[in-house]
Amino acid sequence: MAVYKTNALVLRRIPLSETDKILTLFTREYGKLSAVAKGSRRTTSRLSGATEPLMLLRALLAEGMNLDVVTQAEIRESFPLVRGDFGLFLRATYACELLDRLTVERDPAPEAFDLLLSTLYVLQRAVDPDAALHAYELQLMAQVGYEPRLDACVRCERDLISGDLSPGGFSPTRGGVLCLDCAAQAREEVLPFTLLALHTVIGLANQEDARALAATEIPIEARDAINRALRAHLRLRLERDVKSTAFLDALRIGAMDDLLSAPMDSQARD
Amino acid sequence: MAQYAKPLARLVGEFEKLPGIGPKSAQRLAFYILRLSEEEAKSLADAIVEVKLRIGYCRVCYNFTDQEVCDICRDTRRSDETICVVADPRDLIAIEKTGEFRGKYHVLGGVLAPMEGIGPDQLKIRELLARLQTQEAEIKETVIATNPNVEGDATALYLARLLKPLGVRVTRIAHGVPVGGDLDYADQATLIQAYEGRREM
Ligand SMILES: [Zn+2]
Ligand SMILES: [Zn+2]
Repeated sequence: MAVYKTNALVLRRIPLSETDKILTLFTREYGKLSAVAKGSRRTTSRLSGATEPLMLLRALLAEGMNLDVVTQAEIRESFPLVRGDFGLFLRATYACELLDRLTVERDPAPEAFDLLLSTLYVLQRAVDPDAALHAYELQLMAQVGYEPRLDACVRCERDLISGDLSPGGFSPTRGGVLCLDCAAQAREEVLPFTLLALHTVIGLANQEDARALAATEIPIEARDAINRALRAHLRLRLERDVKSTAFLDALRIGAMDDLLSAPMDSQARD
Repeated sequence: MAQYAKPLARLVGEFEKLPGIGPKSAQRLAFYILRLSEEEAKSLADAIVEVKLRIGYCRVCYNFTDQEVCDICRDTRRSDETICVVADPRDLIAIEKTGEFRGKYHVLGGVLAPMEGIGPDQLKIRELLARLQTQEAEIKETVIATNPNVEGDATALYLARLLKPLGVRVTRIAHGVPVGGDLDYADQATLIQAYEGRREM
């Protein structure tokens, strides 16, 4: 039975039996893979803590008949600041779920691994965690080919950037911004999208410097438009909604803090 | 299951649905029941039906009970000042067995799990808030005793956010190295937690 070592981030884990867990690992070398962590549900197991979501591991795996088996795992980073803050935890969970949804097993994607990792580090010291998260969404979409068209009108190709033209809106169906003329004629759903929103999103999509990203703040006026456009764009490209999105939305509109007056379900899943 | 007579096959099939029971164990249990007297078998069947019919949730704490309000909630010798919040009735039993806690409980009926789409509305959180708000004068502390894993942590963080503004003290049970365990064998995550939760001596 072949044994291999890899750097892996635990995206999720589900109980397999009373004692074992199945992990979804994202490894730098082999992409996403599922592996069994035997005995890891026991409180006395050396693997119990390491096999929790959001742990970055140096792991030793053994090839198995169906699933590979985690035989040893050393925690390289546990992201305590993310775990210790409810808002950051929700964003990190969403980031993991999105990567899980956008990738297939055993397809190496080292740049996606690096992007998620750097996003988790940036989240820990970001002045605006949503800036870090939207930059992650945009850059991850670009890696898998789902990125929205931002430099020109997605319908007539009119250049919006060099002319500094105000967009007419964002079309989730077409997957990008529309010029004023096209937005007026569009029959599909067009979401409001201002020039400020466009400039912000382009900045986030191209921001590769972690330090600068951690210091970036999304202007309040553009916040809602960016959230809605990216969400609708992603929802149409994925078959199902990303489950943790509902939580993030509820958190952003404050519904999570106000259970009694604003039931989360009705607000989050429009 | 062609080798079994139909009623026997049905029983084996039912046992196989139970957690932790494989085909082999299901067969063993079914054959055991086959050897019971009719009276014993009836008593077992009655117990199963009765538990379904008679056991419901306590109106106050959402623990399992056969009454409207459970024994713990009605026990006047227990303090009303502290509520221990657990995810599951089994956690309540585990804490009760220690005999250390003399307050009341609140059973959430699960934990927050964003990736599974389990949110505050699916848990008895609204009910916990209502309890704190109506008996405000009495309840001084809520002890959050969720599991030390991501969902348990997230649930605890969420509850702390929600409850602190109400002016009640919010604490969480400590986690660390198991008693009788060996530091050298403890996993790193546990050691980090244990270190962070160190106490003055
Ligand atoms: Zn156009
Ligand atoms: Zn009760």
